[in-house]
Amino acid sequence: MSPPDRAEEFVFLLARHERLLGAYVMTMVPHPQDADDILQEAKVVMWRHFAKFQTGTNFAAWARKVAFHQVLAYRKRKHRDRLDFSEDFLKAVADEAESSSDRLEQREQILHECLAKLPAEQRQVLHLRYQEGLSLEDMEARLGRTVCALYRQLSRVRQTLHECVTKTLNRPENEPA
Amino acid sequence: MNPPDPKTELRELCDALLDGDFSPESRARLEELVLGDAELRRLYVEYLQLHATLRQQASRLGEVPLTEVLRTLPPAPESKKVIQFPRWPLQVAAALAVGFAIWWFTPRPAERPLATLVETNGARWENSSLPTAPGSPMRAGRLRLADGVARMVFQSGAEVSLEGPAELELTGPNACFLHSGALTAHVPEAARGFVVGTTHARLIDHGTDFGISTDPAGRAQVQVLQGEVELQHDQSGEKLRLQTREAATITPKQFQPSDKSEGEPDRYAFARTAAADQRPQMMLTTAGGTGDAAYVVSPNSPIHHSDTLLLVKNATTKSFLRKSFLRFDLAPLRDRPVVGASLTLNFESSGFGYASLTGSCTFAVYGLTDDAQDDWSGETLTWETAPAFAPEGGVVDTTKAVKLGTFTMPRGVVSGAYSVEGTALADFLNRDANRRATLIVVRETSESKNTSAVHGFAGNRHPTLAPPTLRLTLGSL
Repeated sequence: MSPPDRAEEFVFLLARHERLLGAYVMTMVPHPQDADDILQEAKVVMWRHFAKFQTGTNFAAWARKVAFHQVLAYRKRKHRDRLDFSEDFLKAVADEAESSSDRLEQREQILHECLAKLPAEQRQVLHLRYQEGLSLEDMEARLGRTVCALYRQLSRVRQTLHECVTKTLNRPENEPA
Repeated sequence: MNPPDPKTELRELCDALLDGDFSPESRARLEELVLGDAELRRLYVEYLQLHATLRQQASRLGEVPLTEVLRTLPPAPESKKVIQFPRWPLQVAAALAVGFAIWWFTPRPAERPLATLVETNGARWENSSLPTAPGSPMRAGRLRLADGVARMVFQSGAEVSLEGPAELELTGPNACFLHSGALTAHVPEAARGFVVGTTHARLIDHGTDFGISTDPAGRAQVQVLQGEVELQHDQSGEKLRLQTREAATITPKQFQPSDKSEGEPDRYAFARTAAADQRPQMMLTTAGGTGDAAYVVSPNSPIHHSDTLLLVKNATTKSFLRKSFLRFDLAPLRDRPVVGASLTLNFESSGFGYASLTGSCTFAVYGLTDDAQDDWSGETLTWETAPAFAPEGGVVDTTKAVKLGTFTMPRGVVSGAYSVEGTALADFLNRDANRRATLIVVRETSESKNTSAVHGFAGNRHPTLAPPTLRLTLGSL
């Protein structure tokens, strides 16, 4: 395959899998900036080693493997923090994400349907927290509701969404043929 | 007190991790739960993925074709040029960062945000096609404000405060169309040329503060608070410049300068409690129920087809003529009478023909009265077998169909939302016995040359624009 096609192939595959890969990293590194840095590094490593990737094999699985190593490398390089997860934990989470990757991809798609069903007030809270990236304290000032109430509401909205996704996923028509 | 159920405990720990205080003790407990139980491990991964996806929503403004991403990439490393190789990762990293930033933040033109909703004050929204939460980016579409004030900033920097009840359509990064209601605008130097369309005239700003209000009949009142605006009348072609503290009224035929500007702005008042506003409304599209949407081409027209747009063209030639057919399933109305109706079509450039060689074009919408012909299918429809067939491009068989209204697109314009509304449309829908209404869209304006633009509006398969839509106001039984 000629080199330009290779770049095209890489961009295509990455575009298709990047969002799920980002979510994968966040299950191990919930801190958004750290997760973004790791994802960015992983993309560079993937491109550097893309020659070794065999077209037609599972790109997502290959990308997760690269990203997992970047998570470990990042963790080693960074000053060890008492809040960091143990390596055993990371390994267990990565294995779980790997074996459920198809289901997680379905869940991601269904989530968009479930978001559309949320009442406007709940969507606004998600919007401020996730799209605008406000802290709960900023939201308190903006919405005139206490941090405590917002914390509870965010928890409830995520739980509602999680249940909606699970329910939709288990509908008979969504069963694999 | 009973110990919490482990799933609840896991969820609470995740909440602390994502929004609250996550202590080393919490971390230890979370690890213990996740490592000790497969079900909890699954829940943890699902929960964190949900959080990550919500966060990514922010960057998902749209998708750009691969070609645009590739344009931002450097040429790929050539397989054996080892000398250059060590430099690639950095360049590619930069290119990827740029490429993906572009992929994320400059979606396709149709999806690009045109303005941002900055704040709202006592705003009550009706069924709008745009987001109404403050801070939301807004793409092309309509805002229907029932009450209150909403302030938005266009990409160009023009600031608009919309006063409800009002209906405003965003048409460009520096342009909008005021269907009804009132707005005031502050246009900084950078946004000079800001355009507000109204039913009968366009207002072009030359760096000002101004106010404009319309009444449902399409008359509008313009008041310049500071600076200068230009008005261009659609029908008469008349142009009028207004300076600071000058005002004018736009009527269907002409402009009437008014000298009331020293006093209170003579803003059209609206009956905020008008009965019509309280009536139930319904939107039907050709994508619903037994609806369908298709276009036909006259024989011997081998090129220029579209999967996503419904095409319309008229010319003095026999080939390359096009008409569009829309069918709406009226079953959701049950037996409720329609007291008000509008049909909206979302036009987009088809890329066929030259818009610049096309004068202003008038389109007509017909309603098919011969119910026996309502059974057409978009899959099999042809020029001659189409309902109310007439061999010419700009007309239909008027023994089988009745004209419901017309609209005109100005010279060179091939995109934007255009509507017909009125009692003829409402009456037609009420008379339709089989609860399936076929509408036919033709271009009345004929061009002598085949180089003129082929107009196209979104059908049922357009990726971003709404399909043909009927907005109905319903009476009681």
